[in-house]
Amino acid sequence: MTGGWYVYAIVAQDSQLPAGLTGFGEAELSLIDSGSLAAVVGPLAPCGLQRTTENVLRHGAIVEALQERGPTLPVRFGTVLPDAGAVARALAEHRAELTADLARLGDKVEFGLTVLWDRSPGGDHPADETIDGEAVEHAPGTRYLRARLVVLHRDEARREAAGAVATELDMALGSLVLDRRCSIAPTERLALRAAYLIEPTRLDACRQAVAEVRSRHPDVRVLVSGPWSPYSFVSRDRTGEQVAAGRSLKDINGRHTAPWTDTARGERSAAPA
Amino acid sequence: MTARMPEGREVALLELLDRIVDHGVVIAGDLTISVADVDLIYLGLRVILTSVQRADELGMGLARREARA
Repeated sequence: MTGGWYVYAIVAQDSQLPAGLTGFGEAELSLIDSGSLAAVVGPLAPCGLQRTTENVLRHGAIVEALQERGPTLPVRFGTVLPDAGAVARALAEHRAELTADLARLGDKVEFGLTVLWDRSPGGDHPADETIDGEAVEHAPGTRYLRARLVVLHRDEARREAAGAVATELDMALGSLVLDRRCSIAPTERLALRAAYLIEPTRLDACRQAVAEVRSRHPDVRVLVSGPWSPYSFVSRDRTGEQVAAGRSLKDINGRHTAPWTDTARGERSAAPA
Repeated sequence: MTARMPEGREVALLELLDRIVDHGVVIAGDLTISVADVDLIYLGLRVILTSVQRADELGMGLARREARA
């Protein structure tokens, strides 16, 4: 009696599991085939699984070990299906896009980039208005509207500066990067949060390119993380909605002067609009 | 199995947690695991990011892992 089959990753049907690799509770891993694909699964104890940091990292380590063995698609943490038949049906239902994703992403990695302002562009406070040295008094309504205007201008300046840094990073990374997901100025402090899809062998070159951009911007802090399995680039992300498949960054570089545009979630992909 | 992260690289840890929990292939419409500490992960990320200058001082500014051979 188990608590279901936990799905760690998706691999090609003829894949071999690494020797000694076990899942949660040291359970033996197995493959459930469906056509040319296979899901790497392990039985869960009836008590289920908690989303602890340790368990999340265990999931990630298993995906990484699988990817070191061969092309692998990372499945989101917490995917549990009641039996082997349900796993096979889930693979069959999404076979075309999973097969395409495995070919596109299976042997790639991503790295994360977070850019923070040391000091937010646009200033923090409006300059006081004076006439002949005397401060100008405004009615409360005017003060409110003026304060709103200052915030709007500051947001605009922040987004513009963040867009410029993002463009500069795009130019520096150029053909090193296959795809990226990017959120411009998602918060007041953050200029940029991005994930870049790369060949594993390009990591050092990407770090070097980022370091060069960083050296030209003493006003920002740049955090690089990874390499990670390509979690951010799968087609079936979030609640199963299909995310636009990425295209070559080269497509973007030709239009890097275009204004940054965001989706409702404040994110954009490398796919041209 | 190799570790993804050098010890003490908290920023990288939180970046990884964010990916594994919130990204990756979704093949089931209804995920059966539901727990409470996810928000804490995100909260942790925000805390780290707002104190990034301190993180830099501690040598955590450029979180990285040795590239695979």
